[in-house]
Amino acid sequence: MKTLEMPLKGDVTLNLENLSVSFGGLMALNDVTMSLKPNVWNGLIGPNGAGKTTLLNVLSGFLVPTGGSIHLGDENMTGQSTQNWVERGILRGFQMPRLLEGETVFVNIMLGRHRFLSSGLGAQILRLPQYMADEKRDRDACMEIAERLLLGDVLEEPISNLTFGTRRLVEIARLLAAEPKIALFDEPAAGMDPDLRHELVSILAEIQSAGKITAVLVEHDVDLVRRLCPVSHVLDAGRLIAHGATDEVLGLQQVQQAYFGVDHD
Amino acid sequence: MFNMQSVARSDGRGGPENLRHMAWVTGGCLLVFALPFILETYWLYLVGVTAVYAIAGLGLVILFGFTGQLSLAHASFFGIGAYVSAIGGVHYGLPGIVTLPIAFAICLGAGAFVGIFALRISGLRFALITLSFGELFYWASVRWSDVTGGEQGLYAEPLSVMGIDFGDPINAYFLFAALGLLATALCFRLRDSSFGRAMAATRDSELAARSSGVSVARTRYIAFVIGALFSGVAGWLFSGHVGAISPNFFDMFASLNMLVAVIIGGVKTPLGAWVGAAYLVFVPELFGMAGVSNLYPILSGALLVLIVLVLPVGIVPALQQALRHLGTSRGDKQ
Repeated sequence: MKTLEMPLKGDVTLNLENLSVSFGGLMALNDVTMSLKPNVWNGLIGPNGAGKTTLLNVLSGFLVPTGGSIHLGDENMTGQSTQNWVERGILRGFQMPRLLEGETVFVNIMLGRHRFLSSGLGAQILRLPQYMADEKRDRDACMEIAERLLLGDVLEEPISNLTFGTRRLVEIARLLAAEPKIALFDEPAAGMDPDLRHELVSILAEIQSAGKITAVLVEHDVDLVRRLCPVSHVLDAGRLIAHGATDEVLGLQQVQQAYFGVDHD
Repeated sequence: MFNMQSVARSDGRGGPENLRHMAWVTGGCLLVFALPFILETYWLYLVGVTAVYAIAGLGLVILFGFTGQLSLAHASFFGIGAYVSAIGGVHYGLPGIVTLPIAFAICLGAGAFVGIFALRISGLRFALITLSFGELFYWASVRWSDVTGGEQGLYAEPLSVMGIDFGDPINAYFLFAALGLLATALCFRLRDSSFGRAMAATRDSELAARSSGVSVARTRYIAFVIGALFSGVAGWLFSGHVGAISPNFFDMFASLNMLVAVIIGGVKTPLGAWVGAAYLVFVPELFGMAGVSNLYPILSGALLVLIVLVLPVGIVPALQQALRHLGTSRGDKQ
């Protein structure tokens, strides 16, 4: 099989330095410094409005930070386009699944393979051997992921026929089809019915324990964060108030105050 | 709700699907070859006009159906092709084989220029920009009367390509059938390609597109230019076939008619362009045959409303759904 050309060389750390984002007078992110180590899953927690989704937007090129810098290894990623982020294998999911409503599950998952495209439009229309080989490779990869995410039966269904939980699975399948080096999940298990949620969590756990990708997991469910993320970062009102080993971080009094509103002693 | 028995299903795109596909293609080819022996010359001529509008419609399917961009200048690109063909023939005595690349190049240039706006603007605002381009084209075609013949328009010679006279209805029919099928195949391939998925992504969810690394602006731009080229080539065929052109074939109402046609046919499927084109060409004709052609302007509106209300997805997708329904209710469930 042809090896994919990935601009990302080996395992690289993503470093955020003094990152700030302000909307008018509101500081959505305020002087955030953190580093995402290769193949580590990072919990990103904090109350609503803490800036978690804003951070994901910055880490995928959807938002240009107003201050600070982001480096992927030696490369400055500050203000790069979404395309450049995707090209380097940094991919995100959305809190509400963003899918192609008019297309099938299969087409939606295949979209994730877009970054591996090496053929021009002419080659695609003429169906030149190189393109067809790539298509086959991509189709096989999508089939495999679809099976794993329990989507094998609905591959030809249009998205508009699916339940919310299944749509979420399709989005995660699209993200995984892109073979991310760094995956950014925005509450992947929220709003799913318990059975499906259970399946999804065990799939994520499986991916995590394989140890081949870095992830940021925005999640309100503390148990889920404990299970998947050895490291966590806590945001409150745009500031990073704690980070470290998940169990320790969750035990900190200031975190409990910010997150649960519990006042011990 | 979910189970793991899905492994078998994944190869479902193999055998029987292909067979059915072959059957459709063979049936289509037989029909194409049989028509000239069945139809009288005039009806054959109308089938030719249908093919021309279908090729233009395929451009709209790519632009509007696949990519979700509304263009109100589609008839203008059609007009560019038609005028280049007619002017080249009448004023300069150029054969079709020469005017085709010229029409192609001018449509490419015009499409590339108007398309620049699609890089930043989408939806209705982009439609308005195309509208102003359309109006500009209409104005030029009326005012530049030395060349275009103004309101009176131009007579156009039948196409003659490499010694074959396409004034002959049978020759013309086969040319149009061949180009129509080629354009349709192109459209299908475009839809099923990686670029097709990129187009669908820019149409359905810009966020999904961008987060998968699709350049929304680039995709829109290319789709617009391709749409313009389809329309231009159709226009090039049009003038020689109908023999005379004038600006009102290419005004805003013509653009709207093209849009209406593909919406009726089914905007997301290449076959919809054919059904839509047939609607445009044959429905007025049927009114004429019934001797009530003056009722057409009134009833066509009502008919349109009726079709859109009853079949909001378009005729072709509705038929496909019905066929599928028939197939599953006959007992061959998976």
